Amino acid sequence: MERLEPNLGFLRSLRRQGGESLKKCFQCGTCSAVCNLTPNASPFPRKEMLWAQWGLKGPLIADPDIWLCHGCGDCSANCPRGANPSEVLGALRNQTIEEYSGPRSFAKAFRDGRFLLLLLAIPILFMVVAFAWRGGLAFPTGTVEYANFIPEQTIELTLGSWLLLTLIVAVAGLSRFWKGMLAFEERYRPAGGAGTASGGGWAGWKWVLGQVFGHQQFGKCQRTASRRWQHLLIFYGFLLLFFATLGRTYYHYIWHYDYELPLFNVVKLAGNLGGIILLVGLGAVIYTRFLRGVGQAISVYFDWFFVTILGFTALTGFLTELSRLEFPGPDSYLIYLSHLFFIFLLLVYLPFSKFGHILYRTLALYHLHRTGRVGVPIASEPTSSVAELPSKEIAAG
Amino acid sequence: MKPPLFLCSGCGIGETLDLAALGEAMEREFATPAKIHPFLCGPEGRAMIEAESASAECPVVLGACSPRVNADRFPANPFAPERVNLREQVAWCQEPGAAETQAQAADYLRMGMARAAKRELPVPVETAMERTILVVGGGVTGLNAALEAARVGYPVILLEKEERLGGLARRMHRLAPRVAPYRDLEEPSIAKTVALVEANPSIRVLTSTQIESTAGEPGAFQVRTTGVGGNQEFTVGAIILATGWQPYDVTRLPKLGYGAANVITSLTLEEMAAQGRILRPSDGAKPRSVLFVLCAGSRDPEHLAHCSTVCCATSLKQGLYIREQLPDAAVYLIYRDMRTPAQGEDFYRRVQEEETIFLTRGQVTAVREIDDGDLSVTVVSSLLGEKVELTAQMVVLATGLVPAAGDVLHLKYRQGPQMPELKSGFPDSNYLCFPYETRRTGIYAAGTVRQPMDSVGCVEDAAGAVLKAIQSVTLIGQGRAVHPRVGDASFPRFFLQNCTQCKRCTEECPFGALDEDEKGTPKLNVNRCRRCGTCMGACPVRIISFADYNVDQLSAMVKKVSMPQKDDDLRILAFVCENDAYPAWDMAGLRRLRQDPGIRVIPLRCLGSFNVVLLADALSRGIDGVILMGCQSGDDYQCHFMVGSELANRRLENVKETLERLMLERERVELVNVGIGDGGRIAEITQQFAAKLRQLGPNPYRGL
Amino acid sequence: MASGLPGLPGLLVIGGGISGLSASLEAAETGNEVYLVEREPYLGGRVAGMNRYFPKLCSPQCGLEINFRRLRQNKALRVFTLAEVEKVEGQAGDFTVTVRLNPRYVNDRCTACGECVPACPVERRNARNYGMDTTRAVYLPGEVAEPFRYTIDPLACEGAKCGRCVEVCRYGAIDLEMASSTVTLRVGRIVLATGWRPYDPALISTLEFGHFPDIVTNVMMERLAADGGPTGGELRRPSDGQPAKRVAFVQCAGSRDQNHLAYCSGVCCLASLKQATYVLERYPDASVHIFFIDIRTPGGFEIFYQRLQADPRIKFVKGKVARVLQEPGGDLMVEAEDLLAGRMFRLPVDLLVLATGMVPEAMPLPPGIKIPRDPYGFAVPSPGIWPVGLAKRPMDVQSCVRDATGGILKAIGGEG
Repeated sequence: MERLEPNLGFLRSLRRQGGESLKKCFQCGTCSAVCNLTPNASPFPRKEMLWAQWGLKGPLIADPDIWLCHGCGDCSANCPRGANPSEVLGALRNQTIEEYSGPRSFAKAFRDGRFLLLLLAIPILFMVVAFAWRGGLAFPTGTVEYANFIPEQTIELTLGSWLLLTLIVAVAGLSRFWKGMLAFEERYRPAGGAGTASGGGWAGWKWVLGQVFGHQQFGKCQRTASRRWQHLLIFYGFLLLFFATLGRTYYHYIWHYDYELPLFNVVKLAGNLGGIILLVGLGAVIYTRFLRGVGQAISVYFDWFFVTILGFTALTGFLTELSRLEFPGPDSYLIYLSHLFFIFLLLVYLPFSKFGHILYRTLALYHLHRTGRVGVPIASEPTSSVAELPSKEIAAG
Repeated sequence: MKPPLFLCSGCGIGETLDLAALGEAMEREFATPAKIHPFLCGPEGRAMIEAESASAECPVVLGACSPRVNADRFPANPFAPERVNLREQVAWCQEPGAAETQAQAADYLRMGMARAAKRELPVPVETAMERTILVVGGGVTGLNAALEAARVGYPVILLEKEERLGGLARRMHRLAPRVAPYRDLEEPSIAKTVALVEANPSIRVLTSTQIESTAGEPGAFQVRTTGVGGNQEFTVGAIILATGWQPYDVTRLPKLGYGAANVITSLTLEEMAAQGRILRPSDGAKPRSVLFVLCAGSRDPEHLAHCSTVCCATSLKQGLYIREQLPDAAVYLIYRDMRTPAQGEDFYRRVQEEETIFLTRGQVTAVREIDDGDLSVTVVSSLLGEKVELTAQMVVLATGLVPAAGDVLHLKYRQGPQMPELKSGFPDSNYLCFPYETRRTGIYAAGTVRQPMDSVGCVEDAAGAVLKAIQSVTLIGQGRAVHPRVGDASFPRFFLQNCTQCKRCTEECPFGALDEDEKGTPKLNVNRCRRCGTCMGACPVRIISFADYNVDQLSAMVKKVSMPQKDDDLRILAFVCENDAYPAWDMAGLRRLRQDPGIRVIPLRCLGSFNVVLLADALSRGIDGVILMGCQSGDDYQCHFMVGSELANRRLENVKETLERLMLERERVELVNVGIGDGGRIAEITQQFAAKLRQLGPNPYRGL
Repeated sequence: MASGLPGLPGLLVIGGGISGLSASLEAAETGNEVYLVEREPYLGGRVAGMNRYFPKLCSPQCGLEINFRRLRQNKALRVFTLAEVEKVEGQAGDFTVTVRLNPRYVNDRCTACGECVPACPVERRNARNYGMDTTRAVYLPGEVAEPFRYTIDPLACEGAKCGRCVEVCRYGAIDLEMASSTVTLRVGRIVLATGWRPYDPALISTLEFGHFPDIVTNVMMERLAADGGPTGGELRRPSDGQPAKRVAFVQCAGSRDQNHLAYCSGVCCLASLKQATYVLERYPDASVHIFFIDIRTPGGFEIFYQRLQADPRIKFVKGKVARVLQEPGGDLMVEAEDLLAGRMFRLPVDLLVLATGMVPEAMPLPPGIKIPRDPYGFAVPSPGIWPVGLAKRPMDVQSCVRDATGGILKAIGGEG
C-alpha cells in the first residue's frame, strides 16, 4: 500500500513556476474531457492536478503525460474553478527539467532572474580567458573572414568540450526520467489491453519520429491550432540551421574550405532559409502567446529566457552574415562573437532551459508507445459506479 | 328540511343531461322545485341563489361544476352551498343523453340533497388562550425563537437544561461565513444573542431546568418543571421544541481510531482553537499534520443514515484554524462528497486556496496508532489510489449530528410522552410543502432537532416556528382548526351513552387529541383536534360525528344510490379523499376521460374517516363494488392526516373476512393509492375495477 | 379574523411561487392583511411545473391544492395575477405601492368550460413546457391553475380583428379590449419572493444544448415526465419519439463553475436522483448514468440517495461531462473521464439531461425598492423589505416554505 507524503517544498516551487492556481482544482475532470491530446487510458491532466495539489513529487516528475501536453489551453478555458491545468502542466515541465538537470543549484539559476547575469557571465568569462590566453583581442584586417579571427577548430574544440558536459548532464537526466517512468509504468498501461500501436524498440522510435516531424499532437489543440505551424516553423528552421552547421563543418574537414561560402551554396541557402523560418515562427509565437496570452497565459521567466536566446541566436547569425559585407572591421567581429555567445547559451544550457523539452517530450512519446497507450479505443461506458462502502467493509478496514 | 335546488345547464351540462327531467324527478322526491339556469355562476344566477339561500335553514344544493372551482362566486350565508359536481364528474366524462348518464346525475343530486339536509352549521368552540410561548432549549434556535416571539409581543418562557444559555454554539471558536463574499470566518454572535435574551423583560429564562410533564392542549398546556429552583408549574399557549443536537457517540467508532490519544472530535478541536492551543493530547506538542475524517458516523446505515449537513463546512472552517494557529502543519481533509451548498461553495473555494490544506475524495476505513502517538490512516476509493495510507499526528473525527429529541417534553398524551419522530429519528414534518406540520398540535420543532441544518437555517427556522406557534394560538382561540383544515370550526362530538369503551378512537387519533379515562371512555382535547374524522371512521358504534360531516350523512348518501335496470350495468361506490383523489377525478374530467357511468363518488375528509359501517350499508343494498381512493401510505406516506389511508386499509382487512362470510367476494372491495397527479390513471383504475366486477356478476343482494 | 400580530402593518408579497404563496397564506392565517402580486396569470410559479418532489416523489399539485383551498377561503388575502409592481414609495412601515394589472382579456365570468380553445386559430409557444409544445392563444394555465380561468396571450392573439373566441363564449367572458390598470396599495412591509429561473443552458458551449435535439434540461425533463406535460408523461427522445431508455444526467451544468454560476444551486443533485426514478418507473429495463462532481444530498435526503445507490440500473459516475457529440444518424454520445477508473469513455445515450442551476429571477425591481444584493444577485434583507426563498439563496421547496414562514415574522416584526 502506498503511503502518501506531500512535499511542500515541491508544491511551493511549482506554484512559483506558474502553477499558482493549482490548489483551486476540485477534481471534476472537465480538463481531461475537453483535452484532445490525452490518451484514453489514464488520461491527463486531471490526475496531475490532484498530484500537484498534494505535492506528490514522486509520481509527478516521473509522469510522461505532462510532456504529452502541448499547452493549448483548452482545459484552462473550460476549467470551472480557474485552476488552469494548462499552466500547471507547464510549471510541472519546468519543474521536471530542473529536477533532472544537475547540479541542482545551477539548474535553479535558470528559474530566477537574479542569476541571469551569472549565467551570461559564464560564456563571457570563458571568452575573456580564452582571448587572454591567446594574447588579447586582435581583429584581422582585410576581407572579413571569421576563421581568421577565431579558427574553426578552436570553436569546435572548446564548444565541443562544453557540449560534452552538456551531453553528460542530459543523459543523466534522461536516464533518471526513464527510470522514474519505468517505476510507475503499471499505472499507465491500459486496463483493457494495448491500443493500436504499442511496444518499444524500433517500432516505438519510428512512431516517435513521425510525431516529432509531423507535430500531429499540436494539431489537435482546439483553441490554438495555429500553434502547430508556429512550432513547426521553429522546429524546421532550427533543423535547417543545424544542417547548415553540419555542412559548414563538412566543408572544413573534407574540403578544408575555411572561407565564407557563396550565397547560392546549398549549405548557405539552408542556413539563411532556416534562420528566416525560425524567426518568423518565433515572431508568431511571441505575438500570439506572449503578447496575446493565447494558450498558456502565464509566461514565466523560464519561458522568456529560452525564447529570447533562441531569437538572439538567429538574429545575431544574420547580423554576422550582413556585417561582413556592410561594415567590415572590428564591429563585424564583435557581432560574430555575440553570435557565438548565444549559440553557447542555447546549446550548452540546453538540458537546463526550456530547450530541454525536446529531450523529455521525445522520451515521453516513446514511453507512450511502449506502454500501448496509443490508439486505445475510448471505452463505451464508465466502469466505476460509486457504490458507497457499507460500514461492514469499513469495519473490516 | 328542504334544501333549495339549482341546476346549471352551462359548460356542456345542458347538452349531456335532460335537466328538465332531472328537475322534475327531484321535485317529485324532495318536494322542492329545481331552478335551471344556463349560467348559474353569472351575476343573474348568483342573485337567484342568494335570494333563496338567505331564508334557507340548510345549504342550497347546486348541480353545477366541481366544488373546487368558482367557490368565490357562490357565497356562504351562512352555509356554504352543497355543490353537486355535474360538470367534471358527469357532463365531461359520460356519454351525452345516455340513460345511465342521466341516472348518475340523478343519483348525485339525490345524494347532494341528502347530504345538505344533514349538514348543520358548525359552531366554533372559542376558548381563552394563554399567549405565552414556551421555548425548550437555549441554543441558537431557542434564543432566536424567544427573541422573535418577544419582539411581536408574546411573552416567552425559555427553558434550558444546562446552567448557561447558548448551547453548543457557545463552544464555537468562529463561524463559517454567512454573508458575501462568503470567504471570511465570522466572530460568533452567540454571546450577544444571550445578552439580548437575558435583558428582555418579556422572556423569562429558566436554566438548569427540565420538564417533568406537559399536559393540556394548545392555549392551555400545563407544564411542570424541575430544576435548581425546585418544581414549577405554568401554563403556556404553544411550545417550541428547540433542543438542538448532540454529537454522535464516538465511542462507537473505534475503527476510526477513537480511543487513541490523538484522535479527537470536531467539538474538541473547536474548544482547542478557541483557547488558541491546538495541541496533541498525548504529548502537548504542536501537531505537524492533522487529518480530518468527514462523515464520521454519518451517511452510514449502521450509524447515522442521514447526512449531518454541517460537517463539511465545519471541517473546512477548522482547517483554517490550523492554518492560522499552526501555519506549518499539513491538513488533510478526506471527504466522501464535499457538501457546501449554495454560496457555501465560495467558502470551499477559499479554503482550497490554502497551500497546506490537502483535500481529496475518499473514504477512511481505518485509523491505527503507530509510533509516538502518530496515526496511520487508510483511505480507500480515493482519487489518489484504490487504497492509500497517510500519516497524521492528530486525527479529527467530524462526528455527525444526532437530534436531542426523545423524552424531553414528557407529554401526557394517550399516544406517548414523545414527539412523534420520522424514521430518521428527527421529530420533523413529513411534508415537503408544510415543514411545520406537527402531529402534536401547538408544539413545533425547530432547528437541528428537526433536521440537520446550519446556524443560518436555525435562525430562519426559529422565526418560522414562532409564527406557526402564534398562528395556532390565534386560530385555535377562535375555535378553528389549524393546518391542513385551516379554519374548520367543526369538531367531533361524542354520544357517550352508547360508547363501548373499545378505545379505537383514542388509539387511532393521529394527533393524540383524545385522552381516555380509566374505563376507556374518550375525552376530547378539542384544541388538539385537527378535524380529520379518523375517530369517526374508527368508531364501531357510530357515536362520533361532526356537525357538517358524519356517518349518518354518508350513510344517507349511500342509500340514495339507485339500482341499475340492466344486469350489465354496475353500481360502484368510490369513497375518495377530498385532498388528492377528488382533484384527480376533476382532472380526469377536465381531460374528458370517459368513466364508467355506474360510479358514484363520495368525497371524504380523509380515508381515515371511512367507517366500515358504510361498506355494509352499500353492499347490503346491492352495490356491486366499493373502491376507496386515498393517498399513499408507508414510509413516504402522503396522507395529510398521516395514517388515514393506512387505517382504512387495516379496517378493510378486517372487513374482508366478514365479506366472505356473507358469501361476497373480497374483490368487490378495493383500496387504491391515488395521488393528485393521477388524473390520467383514474379512468383506467375504475375501468379495471368495473371489468372485474362484471366478471363477478351483479351483487346478489341487488333487488333483495 | 383578529390578528395574532395586532397593530402590525399590512404586507405586500411580490411573487406567487411556493415562497410567496406560503408567505401570503401564513401571514393571512395569522390575521394579517396581505396583498399577493404575481406576474404570471397563475399562482404556484416554478413548482407548478414540477412533476414530483424529491424525495417522497409526491406531486407538487397536492400541496398547491391545499394552499389554493386555504387561499380561496381567506378574506385577509388579496391576490393580483398578471400584475407587476410598478413603483414603491415611502419607507418601512408606510409604503405606497403602485401595481399595474395587465389585462387577462378574460374576465371573471369565465367558467373554464374551454369552448373558446377550439375556436382560436393561433398557436403559441408554450413557455410552461419550455417550448416543447404549443397552446392556442387562449389557454388554461394548468390543470390546477389558480385562478382557474382562461387567459389570452396578447403577443399571440390577433385581437379584435379575429374575435372568434368572443363569438363562441356563451358567458361573455372574453374582452379583447381589456386595458391595463393600476391599483395603489398601502403596506407596511414587503416580502420579496421573486424566485428563480433556470440557468440558460445554451451558454454552456461544451454541452451542446440546442445543437442536438435529445439534450434537455432538468426543468424540461420535469415536463416530459409530467402527466400533463407535452408528451403526456411519456419519456421519449425529442428527435424521433423513440423511448428514452438510456438516460444520462450531467450534474453542475453551469453551477459550481466560475465561468457560469460560481455557487452551487443546491437542488440539482436531488432533482436528478428523482428524475432517475421517472426513467426507471417508465422503463424498468432502462439504464441511467449520473455524472457528478460531488453528490449533495444533505440531511435525510441522503437516505433517498442510498436507496438509489442500491439500484444497479443507476450508475453514479464521478466525472464531469464536458463533451457531447453526435454523428448524423448516430447515437448521441457523452464523453468524460471516469475518474475512479482513470480512463476516458464515450457513452451512447437516448436522452441527455443537463442539471442546470438556479439563477435569482433578474426581473428588474420596481423603482423605489432598494435592496442590496450579493455578487450573484441574491437579495439581502433591508429595512422593511425581506427576501425569502430563492430571492435569497438557492434552496429546496421545503426550505423555501420554512423561509417564507419565518420571513414574514421577520418582515412584520420590523427586523431588517
